[in-house]
Amino acid sequence: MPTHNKDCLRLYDQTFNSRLLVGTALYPSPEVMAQAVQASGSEMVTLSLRRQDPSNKQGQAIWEHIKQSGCALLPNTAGCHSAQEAMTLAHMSREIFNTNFIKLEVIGDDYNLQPDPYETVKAAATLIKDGFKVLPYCTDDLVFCQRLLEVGCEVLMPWGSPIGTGKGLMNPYNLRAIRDRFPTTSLIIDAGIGKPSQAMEAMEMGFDGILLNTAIAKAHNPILMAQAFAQAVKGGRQGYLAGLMESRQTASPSTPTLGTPFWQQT
Amino acid sequence: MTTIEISINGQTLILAAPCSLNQALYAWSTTVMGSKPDACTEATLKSSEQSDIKRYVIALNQTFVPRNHYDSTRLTSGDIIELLSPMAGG
Repeated sequence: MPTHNKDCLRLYDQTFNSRLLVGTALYPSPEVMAQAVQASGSEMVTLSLRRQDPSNKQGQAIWEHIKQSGCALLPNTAGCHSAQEAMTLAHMSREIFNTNFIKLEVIGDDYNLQPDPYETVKAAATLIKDGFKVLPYCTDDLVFCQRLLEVGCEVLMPWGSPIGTGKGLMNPYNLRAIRDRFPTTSLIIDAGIGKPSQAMEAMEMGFDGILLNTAIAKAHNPILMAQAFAQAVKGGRQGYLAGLMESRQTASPSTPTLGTPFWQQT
Repeated sequence: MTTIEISINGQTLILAAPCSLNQALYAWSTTVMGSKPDACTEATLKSSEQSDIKRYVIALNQTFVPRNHYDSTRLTSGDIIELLSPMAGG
């Protein structure tokens, strides 16, 4: 289908064939991480900056594998609790990773890792002016999303549910509202996806991509799970493009009723 | 001798003043870590200027310091340095 071949994920001025973005943390080993990333078909991976620890050989190995993957880098500001912290980390990331992409993450509450809308918008506004391509981690709050768009974000990443919970799409109504309200914005569900079926559900709703980490990394077989998510994302996208039927309250036979055999002719 | 007390990644260092950021990094790598991690030796500090992917990056008092300012940045007592490197992330 020619239409599908040209169907790419747009993140600012760049396009990606894969609509699945994956994290690089929590894997049993750097080698498994590398194989899972490859199996996922992802073309963009998230990573972070942490205190230099030369004794941590695994950290260096992960970085080497990420470089070899050839994937575009999406550094995050995980762990930041203020706009100032996030902006500093973004600038540090830009220097070391040589990319303007930044996954902006400003946590407002440590219990559910919910993003702080005020600090996130504040940081996004400044970073956009500084030339960053900001992918903000946000909630499914419509007004929060609106404010992020107003300061120049071209991509939004609302959560499905809190990070690492695997609860899927907790509030489909809100997510649909965001999709309907911002039809041309690239929307990626980030966080909370625990099963391939949940990723597919989001894609069927018209979301543009999925970002996840734990569901693959913590699977018994991360490589197989990466393949499963890749297929789910593709299937969900195709379903969305194909046009889903409207659900109905009453049953309707799929087999033609015309010419029904004798036992119906009483 | 005048000294300054600074912190690098949570480790306290007492250094002779005046002290540049570059000098502090070298002192940290040799004394606090008990070794010379290649990311922090003087040779690497210089050669990393030519590397397109840097192996660490620095914030001084929560403000990003570009690599080409390491030599010219003078430290004062109480400065807090964060030395970060790539790590897995979600």
